[in-house]
Amino acid sequence: MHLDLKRSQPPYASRKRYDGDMWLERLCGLIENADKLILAGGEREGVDFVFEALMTSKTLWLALDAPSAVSSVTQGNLLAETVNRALGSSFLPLALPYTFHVERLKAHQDLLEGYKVFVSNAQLAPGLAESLLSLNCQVVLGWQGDDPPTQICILPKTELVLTFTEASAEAPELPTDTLNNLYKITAGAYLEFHVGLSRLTTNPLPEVPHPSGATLRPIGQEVLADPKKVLDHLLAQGRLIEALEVACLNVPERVESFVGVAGASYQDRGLYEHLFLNLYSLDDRFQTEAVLEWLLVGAVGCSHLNDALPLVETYLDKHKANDLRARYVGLIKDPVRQLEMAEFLATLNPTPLTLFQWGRLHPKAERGVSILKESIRLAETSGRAYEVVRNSGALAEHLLYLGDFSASRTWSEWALRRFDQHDLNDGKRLLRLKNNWAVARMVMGETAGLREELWSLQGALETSLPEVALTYRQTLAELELVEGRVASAQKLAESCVWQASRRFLGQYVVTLVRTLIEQDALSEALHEAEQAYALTEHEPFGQGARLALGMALSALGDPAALPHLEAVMHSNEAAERRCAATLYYLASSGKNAASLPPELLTLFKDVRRSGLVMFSGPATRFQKVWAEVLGDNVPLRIVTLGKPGVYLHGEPVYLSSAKMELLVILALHRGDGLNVEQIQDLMARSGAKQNVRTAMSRLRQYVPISAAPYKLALPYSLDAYEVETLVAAGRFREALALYEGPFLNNSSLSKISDYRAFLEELLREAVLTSDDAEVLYSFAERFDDFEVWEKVSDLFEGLNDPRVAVARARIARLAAEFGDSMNDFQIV
Amino acid sequence: MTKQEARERLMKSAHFPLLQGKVLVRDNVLIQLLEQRASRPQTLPAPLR
Repeated sequence: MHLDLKRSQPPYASRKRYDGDMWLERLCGLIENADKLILAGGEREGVDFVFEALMTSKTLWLALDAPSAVSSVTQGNLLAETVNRALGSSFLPLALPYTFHVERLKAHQDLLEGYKVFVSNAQLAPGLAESLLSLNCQVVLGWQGDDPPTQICILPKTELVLTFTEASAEAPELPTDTLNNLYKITAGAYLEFHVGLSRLTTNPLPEVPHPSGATLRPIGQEVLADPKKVLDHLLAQGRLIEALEVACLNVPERVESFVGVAGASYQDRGLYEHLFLNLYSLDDRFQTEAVLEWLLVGAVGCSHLNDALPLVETYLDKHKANDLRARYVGLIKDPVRQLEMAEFLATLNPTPLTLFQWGRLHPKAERGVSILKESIRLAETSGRAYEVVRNSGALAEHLLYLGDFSASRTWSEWALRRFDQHDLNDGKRLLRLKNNWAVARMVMGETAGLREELWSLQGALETSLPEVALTYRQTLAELELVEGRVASAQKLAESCVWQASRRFLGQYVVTLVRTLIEQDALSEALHEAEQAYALTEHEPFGQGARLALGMALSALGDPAALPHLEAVMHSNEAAERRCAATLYYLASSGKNAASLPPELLTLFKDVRRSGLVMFSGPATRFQKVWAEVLGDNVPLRIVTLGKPGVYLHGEPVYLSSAKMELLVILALHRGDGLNVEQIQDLMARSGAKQNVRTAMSRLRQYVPISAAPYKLALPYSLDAYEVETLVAAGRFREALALYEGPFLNNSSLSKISDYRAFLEELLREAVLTSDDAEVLYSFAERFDDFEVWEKVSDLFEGLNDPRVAVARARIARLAAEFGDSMNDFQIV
Repeated sequence: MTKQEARERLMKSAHFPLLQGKVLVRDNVLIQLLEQRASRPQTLPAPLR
């Protein structure tokens, strides 16, 4: 497809930067209004000059070259850095493939409102170029060579080069013959022409613009420099990625002196293969302990272990090399030897790394926790920020496993904050932290705001990091289940099971079986559980499938469930699985929670209702068990926020909308009861008093109600009042999570709609007084409230939280919408 | 993978391509620094570790 030049020749307003440059002015005019366009040329044809001329504060300009295009992660880093620079926040983490970022950007289209994307040398990264074309904004690619993306307008090379008239205007002082020759030799390619011109005249050599603001010498005009001197300057400027490469290729004797800082920089940016290649290529004599330590880090990150291990093991045979050995510990296959070595090294020389290894490998989780805490203290005093985050993340994971959900949530959150504050980039570590954080929050009932974040991350991960996406899909399935979207939960859980390796089959099948039980698909649940159990029965990782089987049998009322559930309850399994086994055991055995050993009861200390739903269900069968575990002995439970429901002694009561309204009117009344007139008034009904009495006696068939004045004749709980209590206690996260939707949303009674408005405002006022970024963000996400978004933006700014970009975009959109509505108002 | 293969892969996408024992530099900031340095007495960079 070619651009229709006649159609797109608008009179282009001359700006200063085009002065005297007819070519630039012509091209900018052609490009400015195009939506998606390919310029069939590269540096030689002056594409970068055009991009620079069109650059505004809302431009993402990616200048690809061989090093930045070498892998999907380097391309991802270039894209992330370009976007982050433009948005003024670290919205996109580094160390992830570009596909992740493109999906993130698609999920947050408002962030790129009014932006344009330019890519120089797009042919070096065709996949990235294709993805960027799918963004909903102007995209212009500079493409040198064959096979540009089809279906996109192309400005052919013949139109990209200088016309003779333009060339003459560029070189008015040149004699005609010389000009003719130069034009012919350079074929009118803009940069080539100017390089030639600089040779023939006193004009300086042209400088090729670059998005960084620096300029480059044209290709073919490079300066030859002494690598040692280049290395000195790169180190002085902190350009460690380039420095390590220059040193490895040219000055190997210098590598050891800075491999520690450079290696960490490679790791932070996810450049594992590049790190490995650099250090692996060195001569044996330069592969010292420090070099081999980072060689191992690189090799583990890019599956080159088979190449690296012989080098490392040979070295370890001859040297003590405790730091290298500490890295190597994680790779020892025999668990007994592995733990012995980890303990030996940590005792001999406690460092953030040796303690991290020992703590995370320790078979006694409680001991592991105390070792990991020590590793964090040490990292804080003598380690790197990365080590603080890594060790805190490991601690959060350990605590999650142990069932100390609250502490796990706190440590994950702390690690995430440190990650932002220290401008760390390792996206894979970030994603792992976020997943553990999400799980702990779900268990504790802090689900507000999670869904949007998880969906957006999971969508981005599907195409970029399928193995991480699987974990996110499971977490999302659990959240969907907790929030009542069972079909969606089942779909996600099913896809996890289909794709899981045998090792993780049990873990995923539990979630699938849980969703099937929720839908009463019991034989299907049993079938899935039996299959997974048969595949993993005698494996050390077989407890997940055993739990699934116990759950399915329990749902079918089969006493054969009990031995399976008991086995998991009393095992060393993750707390989530032990909790689930315990709940199904209680439901199946008819025993009460008080009969449980204290170590099992303790597992539930931080678990709220959403956690119970995550582990067990359906509510119709588990309400009694849940009430016992929560210590909630209120006989009548009325749910009005989100999906309404009524539970009497744990059993569901199905009421029509009118009966539900009447029940809620009674529940809202905290006094001595309501008389007939009051009820008539509140229910907005006229007519005979007998009608109220009849309605009341009909409701009484389901729920105990006193004689007039009418009130509920037994203790009850109303979730809306629980929100009020939580707000009063300052427990805003739980209040927000409990507020699943507006108060009895389908009712139009004024008493109910007034209370609905009151509750929302109460929550809003409370949130605005809070300095908890998560509370504010959750509320802003849900209610799209301008004032809250402003507070979120300020708070995130101070915390260096990447979501500041989202907050700013929402504020801009809401301000624009407000502006539009004001305009409408004025017109009217 | 041999060391030579690793080296060749690095060179294919090197930030500073090699030519006759020297490296090719395009970055004008770096070129300027190199030129300034040439006309100044040499000082060692601060150690990083």
